[in-house]
Amino acid sequence: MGIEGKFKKNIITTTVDYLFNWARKSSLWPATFGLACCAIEMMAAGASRWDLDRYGVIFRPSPRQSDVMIVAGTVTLKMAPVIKRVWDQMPDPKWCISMGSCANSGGPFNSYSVLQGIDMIIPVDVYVPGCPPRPEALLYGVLRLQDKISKMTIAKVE
Amino acid sequence: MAEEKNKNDSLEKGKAPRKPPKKEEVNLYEEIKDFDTFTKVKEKFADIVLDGKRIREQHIFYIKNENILDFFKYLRDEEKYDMLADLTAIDYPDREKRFAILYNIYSFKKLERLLVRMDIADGEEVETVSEIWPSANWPEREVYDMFGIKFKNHPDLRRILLPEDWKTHPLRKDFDVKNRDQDWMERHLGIREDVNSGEVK
Repeated sequence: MGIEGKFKKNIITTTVDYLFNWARKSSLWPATFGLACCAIEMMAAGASRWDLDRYGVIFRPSPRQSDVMIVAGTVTLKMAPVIKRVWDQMPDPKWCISMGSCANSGGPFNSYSVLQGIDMIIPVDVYVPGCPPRPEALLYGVLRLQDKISKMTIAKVE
Repeated sequence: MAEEKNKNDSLEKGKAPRKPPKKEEVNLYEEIKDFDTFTKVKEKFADIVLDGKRIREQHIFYIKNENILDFFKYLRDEEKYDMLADLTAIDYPDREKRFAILYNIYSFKKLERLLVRMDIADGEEVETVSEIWPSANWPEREVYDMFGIKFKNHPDLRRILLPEDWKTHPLRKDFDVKNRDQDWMERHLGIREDVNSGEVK
């Protein structure tokens, strides 16, 4: 018996990890990086039919306010330094969802101007395959990222 | 067994060579006749205008890269070709004059389209027509970006699609389309691919 039985129904006990992870995964604000047709699917996922807002995913216009970056579309070499800069501007803790074949691996564009996967320049947490992925696929990716966040801990290993 | 045999039959039927219906070789290019502009232009700019052809009810003028500004000014002011719809280039690596520049101009007064085609050698400079038709500004930058053809007196001849410190001109036929500029990537992204294995360092 801990302290659970000693109070009536006005106190809950939890771990700090659970509380932090719950807060983090329930308000994943993405910095959108819509670059191609994937961005259309991302917009659809955010609109009323699929409605990412239900999971606390609210698109932000600024990297300073964001927790997760959804890179949606073909990353050209000219755009790659911009993505890296936006990623560097995001405050920790931060995550990255790579949406679509182009962002995952360059997709069909093995050419002089296309970066072969954004994991060359920034760390990726969840890869969403598809060309473009349907909004359900992006939703599933967000849910998988939530699972990943719920396993995090703030404990440090010395 | 019988079914299988049928299947094989149908497969063999499918294998039967299906040749596409043979097309007759038709030369679509005709000589120009009864085209007033061509007669006038041929007379006035005899040293520039080499030839004129007609294809699918549309006229093409072939010109030399000499005093083209007078020629185009004449087309705009006297013949009322008031819009430059497109300006582009083609690379023929085997030809002596390697590039062809195409001017696609349109007349709202006559509702007519005219193609002007000019062959130039590698390294040859072309006079800009952006003074005549301002819409030539960006297409000329694109041709410079993709082919490396320089336009004389252009107001702002920078790359338009690729980054400014890019080295190559990708639409040239001798450019390897998979050749990512590793130095550029190292400078801007801090990465370098191994060309053989695809590994990233």
